[in-house]
Amino acid sequence: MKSERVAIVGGLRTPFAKQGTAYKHLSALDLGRIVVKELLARTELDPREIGLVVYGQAVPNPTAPNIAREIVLGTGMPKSVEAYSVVRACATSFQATTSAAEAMLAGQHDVAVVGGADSASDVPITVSKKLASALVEAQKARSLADKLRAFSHLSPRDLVPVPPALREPSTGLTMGEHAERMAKDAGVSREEQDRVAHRSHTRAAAAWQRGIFADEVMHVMPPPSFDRPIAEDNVVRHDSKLDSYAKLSPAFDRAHGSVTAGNSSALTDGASALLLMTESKAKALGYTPLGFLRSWAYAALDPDDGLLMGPAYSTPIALDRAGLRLSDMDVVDMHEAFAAQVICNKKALSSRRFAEEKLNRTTGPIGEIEDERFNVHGGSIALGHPFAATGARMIHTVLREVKRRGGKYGLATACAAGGLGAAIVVEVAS
Amino acid sequence: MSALSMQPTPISARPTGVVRTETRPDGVAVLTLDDPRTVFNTITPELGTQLAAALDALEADSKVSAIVIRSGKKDSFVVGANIDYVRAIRFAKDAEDVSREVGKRFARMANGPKPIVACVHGPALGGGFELSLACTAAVASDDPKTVLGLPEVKLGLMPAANGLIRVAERAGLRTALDVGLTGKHLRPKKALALGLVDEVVAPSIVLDAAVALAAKLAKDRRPRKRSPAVMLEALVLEKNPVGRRLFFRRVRAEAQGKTRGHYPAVLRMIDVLEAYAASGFARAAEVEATQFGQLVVSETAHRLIDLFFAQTALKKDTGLDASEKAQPFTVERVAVLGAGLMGAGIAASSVKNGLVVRMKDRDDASVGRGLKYVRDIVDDRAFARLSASTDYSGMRHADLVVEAVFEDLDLKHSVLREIEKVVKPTCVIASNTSSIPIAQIAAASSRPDMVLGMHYFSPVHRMPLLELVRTKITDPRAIATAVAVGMRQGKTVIVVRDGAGFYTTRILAPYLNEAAHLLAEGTPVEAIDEAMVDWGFPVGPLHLLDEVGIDVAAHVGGVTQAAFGERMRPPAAFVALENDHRKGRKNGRGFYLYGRGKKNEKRVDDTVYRVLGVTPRAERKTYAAEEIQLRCALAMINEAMRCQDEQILRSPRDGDIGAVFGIGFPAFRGGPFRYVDVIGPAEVLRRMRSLEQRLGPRFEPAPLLVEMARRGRRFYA
Repeated sequence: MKSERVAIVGGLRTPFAKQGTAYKHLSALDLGRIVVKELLARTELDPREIGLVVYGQAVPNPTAPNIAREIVLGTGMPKSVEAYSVVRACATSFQATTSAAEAMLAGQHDVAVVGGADSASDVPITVSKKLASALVEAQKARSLADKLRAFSHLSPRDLVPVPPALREPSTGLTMGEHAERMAKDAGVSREEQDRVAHRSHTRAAAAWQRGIFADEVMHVMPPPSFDRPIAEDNVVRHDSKLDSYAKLSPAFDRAHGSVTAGNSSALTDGASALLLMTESKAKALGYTPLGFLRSWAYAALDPDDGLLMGPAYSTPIALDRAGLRLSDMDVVDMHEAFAAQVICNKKALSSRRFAEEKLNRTTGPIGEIEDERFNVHGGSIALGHPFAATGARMIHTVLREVKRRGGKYGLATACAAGGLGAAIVVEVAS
Repeated sequence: MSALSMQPTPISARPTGVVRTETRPDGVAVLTLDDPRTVFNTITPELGTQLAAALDALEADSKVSAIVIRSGKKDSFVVGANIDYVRAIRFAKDAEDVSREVGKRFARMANGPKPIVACVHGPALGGGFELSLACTAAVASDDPKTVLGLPEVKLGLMPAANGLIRVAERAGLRTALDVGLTGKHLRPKKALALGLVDEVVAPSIVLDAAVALAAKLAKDRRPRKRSPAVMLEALVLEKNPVGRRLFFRRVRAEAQGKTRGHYPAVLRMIDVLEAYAASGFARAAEVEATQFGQLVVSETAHRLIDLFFAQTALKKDTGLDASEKAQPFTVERVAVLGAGLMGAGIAASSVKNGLVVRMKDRDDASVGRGLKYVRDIVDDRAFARLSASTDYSGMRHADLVVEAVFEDLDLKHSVLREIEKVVKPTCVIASNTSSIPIAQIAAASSRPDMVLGMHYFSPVHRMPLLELVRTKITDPRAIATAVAVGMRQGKTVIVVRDGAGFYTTRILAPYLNEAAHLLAEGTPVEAIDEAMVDWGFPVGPLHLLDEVGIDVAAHVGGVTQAAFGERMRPPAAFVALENDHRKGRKNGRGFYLYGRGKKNEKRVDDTVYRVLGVTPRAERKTYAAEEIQLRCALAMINEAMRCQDEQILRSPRDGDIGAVFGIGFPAFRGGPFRYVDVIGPAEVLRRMRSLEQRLGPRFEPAPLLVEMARRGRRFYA
């Protein structure tokens, strides 16, 4: 019996916009609805065919904890479409994709919409622990006096709102500090990092100019005024010059650091989505898939030992499951959280020692990734990184690029907070 | 006007049980209103008599401690007085007596020994709302179908059972004026906040809650408290003669300005409320009965009720000819091409009523404006059904396409060719043109039998009319489909035959043209507009030209002139307006000044006279308004009769509805055909002949008018 494959029938994303710019009035949910509604329209899909929506935000918003279900209810899908939300930090839409795929391979669904959205402009600002417990106490209190008493222990400092922590709970360091540490441990120079960033921007700018993203990125007329259309990512520098990166001061270690705002991904707003179908369903509905999910893997490592090395750990497993080698990949897309992290991961993948010591593999290094097949159209540094939206963006771009090149396989891989890694191997239709 | 607000339902003469009662073990009697002859409960003589008898019996019954009144209909309480019955009243005195009688009964309910609680689920309108107000208390369900209101004003009537006074008593004069004069529906939450109902609960427990409240009131009945705001208002207005007089003078002036005296019900309601404020409930109830009697037999009420009947009849009309049988296609998805005012308005009316819409325009900026327009009109859930694009994507499964692009035949042809490549063969293709004959547009179609016109009016979400245009070859299924969509969008749909300007634009053309002639003769702009507003149009013809766009009107004028010749020819001087780049409000250059004066204050742009080469007559005030009214109105009415004669119209009824709801023909005059009936065809003919003699062949009477006059016929039986 020929086993069922999961097809990627369509994909779409919003342009990615710097925090506080085009989407400053929108929530992640708003962005998710915009992109999913447009994906459904463009793919001419009858929404009644959809069985499942898996969606996510890396920074969940308390006003819509189950964003997936809110997307169902806000995009004209039948209310009977079931939905759940996932969180895997920067690999959230990898998770959304593979969770749906697993349900489909188990025969539970044949059409699913997946993706992720994040808004750095609309982060849930919370209150201090003391104020929170006072509020809860006040809510339970019966009399006005009791209500007031609940607040009597608070000091003015307790009233200051608390933004979400981007610190790793396990290590107490921010992502940037981790990247800084990796750069120092691996001896990655400032110049190397700046070159990666410059390359990302140059390639992204070229891709936009060549119209590569025309079928991947929708135009958005952001509410409430709808009068400032955004058609392209606004993080991309169209006049990137290598020298200009050198002028920036280090962001996380002023004295000895090399990680700057220029060679890191920026806080970004955006959303993405993919339409998945079982191969047979796609055929029945008359769709020609862009390609198929071939394999996937997640891996975890000690956050203290190279927090952002997830790609180097998850990629070999995904390749093994696909029965393929890194050299079989026509295109590789690695999430660029920081240039330092990209450099370290690439080095690790080509290192025999890394393979032996960290992966317990005696078959030699995983492989080199030549420049011409790596992050072909730029990466998160240039395009922006709305955490949960990045995975679906990468999967879609890789697939189209493999196809464009007349190739067969592609790899998308990302690191995620907590020392996690994700990797997906895709293949084009044949 | 809601279908539910006042239901015309023929009542058979046979006596029928419309009230039943059941006494619960706890001593609460449940009185159920259920008129087996009708879908909705309406107030009829039978209901009145039986309700009174039942209440008397329950009051006398010692086992009964309290009473709940509810409806036996699934999702409605009582939707108002039976309009057939009201329309049949011939003498003011009879109506007055009815009002006084019902008023007395309701007063007895309100002051009776046992508490009565209204259990309201679904619409409680007019007499239904008045009934609930007369009860000791009311419990309403929070169902979306539950609305309360006094819509009588829409039929030229007023509440006749002291409901308006009770609203004033509980919620204050301002609220009573608002509720009575607008006839608007109140949601249960709003009614609760205003103190017009006492509890709002889930539909499933509304009866239980009403019973519980009735039982509680039987034990402990306390007078209702007025809110501090209402008490304050009473202090300022009711207890203070000076404040009261000032207040009512202002209210009256405002009402007079808005109605120009054509809708007497508005002023009569103000009378009732002033009597209440000055002299109390009993005096106000007296005034109410007398005034109601006058209104019921007034021409205005008769015209408005007739229009209401016509609208109701159209709701059941498939739009097809008797010989045609066709089922509409199911429509779920609509593609709207063009996101301008019309396109976006059509999209809004569609998504608001559950249709899924894909809207296209040529660039992001245009699409964005369209989205903003819709967003400002509809709620989140409706907006979720709208998506937009700059290409033809997302339209493959459209069941209906409405093209609302610029009025240019070549553009419309290319749009048709493009969209037909995308959509399925059974997709109905509609053009929202206001003037280009549909057959010309359909000429570019690969399936001309699926092409028709859907002429909406601006602003689409507010204007109630849809003029649907069929060509000689339009497939009846396409017509049935478009009619069904129009009704779903909440429109009153008339189906007319294809021809230059169809019906509404065609009769508007000579009307506007006549205003232009008057102006070219030196009649001042404001004299013309003022005269027609006085006659009952919402805006004057020259003001309307500014709104529509002088260039657009000239373009349409060209189309109608080409089709109908001399009578549509504009005065020669009008070419100068176009040469002077006067396009109306959109470019701030028209008959009026824009953006310079204060808001709401319209000032004529005096330079327009120089452009036209005329000197306005000095004696503006004394210029005969009647002459203006006669010429403009008859130009329109005469053209309407030509449309009937040429079978552009299916019936005079459609002609009246189209003129009133599409282009603002005065509703209290009932429409062009009703107007001719009321004046008499012979008299209208006489006036036309005299205009023809003075002003030439553009006033040549329509052959149908001559015929009607000769044979002494009327359009309506």
